Amino acid sequence: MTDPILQIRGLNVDIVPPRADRIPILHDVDLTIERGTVMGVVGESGSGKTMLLRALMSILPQRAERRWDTCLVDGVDLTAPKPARPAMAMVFQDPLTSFNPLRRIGGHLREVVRRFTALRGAEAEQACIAALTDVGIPDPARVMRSYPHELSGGMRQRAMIAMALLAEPELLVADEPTTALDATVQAQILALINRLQAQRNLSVLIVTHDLGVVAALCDQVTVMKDGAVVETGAVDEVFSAPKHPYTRSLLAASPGAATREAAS
Amino acid sequence: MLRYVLRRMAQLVPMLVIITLIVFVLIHLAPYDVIDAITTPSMSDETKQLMREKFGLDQPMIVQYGLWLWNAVRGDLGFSLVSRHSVAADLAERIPNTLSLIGPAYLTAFILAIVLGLIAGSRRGGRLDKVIDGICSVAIATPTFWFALLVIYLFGYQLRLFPILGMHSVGKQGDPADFLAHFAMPYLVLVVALFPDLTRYVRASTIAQFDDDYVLVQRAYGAGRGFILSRHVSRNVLLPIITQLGLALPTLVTGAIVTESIFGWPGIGQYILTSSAALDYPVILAVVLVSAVLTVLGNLIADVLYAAADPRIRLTEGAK
Amino acid sequence: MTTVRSTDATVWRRFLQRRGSVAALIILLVIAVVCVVSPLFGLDGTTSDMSDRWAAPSPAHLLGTDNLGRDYFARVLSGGGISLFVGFSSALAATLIGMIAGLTAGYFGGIVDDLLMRLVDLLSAIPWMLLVIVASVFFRPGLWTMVLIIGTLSWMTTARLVRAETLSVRERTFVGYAAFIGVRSPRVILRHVLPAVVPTIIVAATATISGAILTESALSFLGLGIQAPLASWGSLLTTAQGSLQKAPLLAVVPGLLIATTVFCVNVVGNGIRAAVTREDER
Repeated sequence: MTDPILQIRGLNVDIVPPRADRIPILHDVDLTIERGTVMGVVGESGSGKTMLLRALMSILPQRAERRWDTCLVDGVDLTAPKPARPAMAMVFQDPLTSFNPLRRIGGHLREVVRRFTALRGAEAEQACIAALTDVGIPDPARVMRSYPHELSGGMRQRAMIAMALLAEPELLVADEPTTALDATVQAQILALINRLQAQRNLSVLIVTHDLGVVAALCDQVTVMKDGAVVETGAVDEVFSAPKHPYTRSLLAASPGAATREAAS
Repeated sequence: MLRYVLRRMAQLVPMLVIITLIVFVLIHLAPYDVIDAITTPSMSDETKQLMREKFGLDQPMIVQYGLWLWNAVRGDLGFSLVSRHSVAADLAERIPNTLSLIGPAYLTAFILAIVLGLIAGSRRGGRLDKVIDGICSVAIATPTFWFALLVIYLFGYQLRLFPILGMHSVGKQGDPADFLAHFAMPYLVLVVALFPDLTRYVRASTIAQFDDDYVLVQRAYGAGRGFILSRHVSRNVLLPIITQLGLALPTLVTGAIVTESIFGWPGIGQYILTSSAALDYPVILAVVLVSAVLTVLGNLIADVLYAAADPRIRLTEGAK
Repeated sequence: MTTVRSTDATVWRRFLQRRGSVAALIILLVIAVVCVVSPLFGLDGTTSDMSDRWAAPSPAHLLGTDNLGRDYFARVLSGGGISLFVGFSSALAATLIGMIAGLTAGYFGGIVDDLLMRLVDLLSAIPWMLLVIVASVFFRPGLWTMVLIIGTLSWMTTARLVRAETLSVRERTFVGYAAFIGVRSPRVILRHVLPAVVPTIIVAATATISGAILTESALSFLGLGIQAPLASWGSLLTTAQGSLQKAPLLAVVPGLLIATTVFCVNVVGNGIRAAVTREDER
C-alpha cells in the first residue's frame, strides 16, 4: 500500500531570456516519495537538481517557466490556480546568506511561527526555544539573540533546520545542506536529520552531489543528468546494480567506490 | 570607537591646511588680483599700490597665508577685501539663508527618492520601474539652470504666481507667507535637481537586496513581496541611505550655487560667486574651509552611522 | 557577481541590437554633424540687425533673432559646436588622466597607490562646483581654460573605477604569468591589463562627457566660461535669461539641446555597459 507524500509527474522548466532562445532546464521529470522515507536526488552541477527543488517550492527565478501535469504534496494539489499551503519546508545550502544579516535569529524564527502556527507571544517564544533545543543547540536563548554572522557554520545550519521544523512540515526539503560545512560538522548535521526524521516520521527530500550522503541517509535515490531523470530506485539496489551507464560512471568516480565494490 | 573618531578628526587638520594653502597659492598666482577688481582703470598706479599695501597684498605670499592661518585658527576669518564686512559675520548671515532653502529641498528629495526607489527596485523591469527610471534619466540630463528658467517663465511670468527674485520682498523680512512665495520656485528647482541621483541609488540598493539569497529563503517560507519589502528589504536599504545623509552635509552649504544665482537668493552660493570673480581671498578661503570641514565631517558621520547600524562591522584600530 | 567580458565585435553587435541605444547614438551624430558642418553653409550668427530684434521664427530666421538681431538658428548651431567641443575634449583629457592614474595605482600598488589615492581624496574633499569656480577665475575665462579646468578636475571618478578594475584584473593568472616570465611592467600593462579594463574606461568616459557638457554650460551660464564673441549653449542661455518674458523660445532651444545631448550620451553609455556585461541575456 503506497502512501506517497510527494508525487510529481511531467515537470518541465525552461528559462526564457528576453533576447535569446529558450533554454530547457528540466525535462519531463517524475518524482515520487513515500511517506516517512528519505529520498536523495543526485547529479553533477547543471543536472537540474536545484531547479527541481525551486520548482517544487515555487521560488523559480523570474525568467523561468514551469509546466507540470501533477504535483501532489501531502494531498495538496499544487497545480491548482491558488493552492493551499502544503506542509513542507526547505533548508538551504548556505546558512550565512540565507538569513537576513541585519536581523537576529530570534526574529527569523518568530516570523515563521507567526506565519505557520497559531502560537503567539510567550508560547511562540517557547516553541522557538524548543525547536532550537531539538536540533541540538546548547544555549538556545543566546542563539535567539545572536546575529547570523556571530554563529559558527554548524550552529547556523542547525538554526535553519530549527526554522524549517517550526513550519511544522511533513516533508522536509534540503538543498545540499552540508556542502558549505566542514567534514566533521557535516556528519553531525546528517545525524541530526536522521534523528529528526525518525522521531517525527518526517519525509525528507535531499539534493546533493555527494554519494556518501546518499548512502548514509537515504532510502531511495534518483539520479539526474542534464535536466532529466536517469534512474531511480532503492539506494541499495541502485548502488549495487546500477542500470544506467551514467549512474555507473557516477558511482565509479566517487570516493569510496572501491570500498563499495569490495563490499558488494 | 572613540579612538577611531578622534583619529579621523586629527587627520582633518593637516588636510585643511593643505587644501587652503593650495587654494591660496592658486589665487595668488593669478595674473590679476582683487585690487584690479575693485579699482577702475582710471585710477593711477600709485593709488593701486597704496591699496595693495593697505591690504597687505604686497607682502610675501607665505606671510599673507601665515597671517590668515594664524587668525583663522583663533576663529578670526578676516574681512572681505571688497566689502570690508567681517567674513564671519557674512557667513553667519548667509549660511542660514542657504540652509533654509536647501534643507527642506534635500529632505523632500530624500523622502521622494526612498519612496520611488523602493517602488522601482521592488518591481524591477516592470512598467513602474521603467517610468521612474526614465524620469530620473531625464531629470539628470536636464541642466538645473535651464529648468529654473522654464519654471520662472511658467510660474513667474505666465501664471504670475510667485515673485522671481530674492528671499523676501522689501520690508517684509520675517513674514512667513512672503518667504514661502519667494521660496516656492527655487525649492522646486532644487528638489528636481537633487532627487534623481538619490532615487537611482535607492533603486540599485533595493535591487541588490532582492537579489540576495535571504529573499529567496523568505519566498520559500511563503512571504509575499509586500511583506519582504516592508519588513526586510526596506530596513536593509535604509541603512546605506542613512549614511548618504552624512555625505550630503557639504551639499547643504554649497549645492545650490547656480540656483541661488538665478533667483538672487542671498546665500553662500551667491557669496562664493561674487568673491571668486573678484579674487577676494579671505572669503574664498573661508568658504573652502567650511566646505572641506563639512565634507570630512560628513564622511566621518557616514562611516560611524554605518558601523553603528550594521552589526557585521566593528571598527578596529587598523581599519579605515 | 562575475561578469563575462567579450570581444569587441560581439560587443558591438550586441549594442546594435538595442534599439534605444542605437537611436540615441544616431541623434548624437546628427546633432554633432549639423553643428560642426553649419559654418560651411554660410549661416551667419554674428551679424547684428538692431531693427529686427527678437523676431519670431520665419523662413529667413528659422529660430528668430536674439536681443541683438542676430540669427538665432546660426548661433545655436555654432554654440553647439563649441559646447560639444569643450565637452568631448575635456572628457578626453580627463579620461586619459584618470586611466593613467588608475592603471598605475592599481597595478603597482604600495606607496604609489597610496599617494595617488590621497590626491584623489584631497581633490574630492572640496565640492566640485566650488573647485571649478575657484579654478576658473584663476585663469582668464575662455575656451581653453574650460577644457583645461574640466579636464583636470573630472578625472577622479574614472581613476577610482579604473583602479578597482585593474586590481581585479591583476589577480587573474594570465597577468601574473606574464610578469612571472619576465615581461616588463609597461608591456604587461599595455598588452594584458589595458584591454581588460577598456570597457570600464569607455563607460566611465561617457559619464565624464555628460558631466563635462553640463558643467561647461553651467559655468558659461554664470559668465565664468565661454566668453563673447564665442558662444556656447550655456552662454546663449545667459542672454536668453534677460529677455525671458519677451522671447521664451531663446531660452527653450539651447537648454533642450543640452538636455537631449546629455541624455543621449547617457543612454549610449548604458547601452555599452549592458552590451559588455551581457545584461539582457540573463
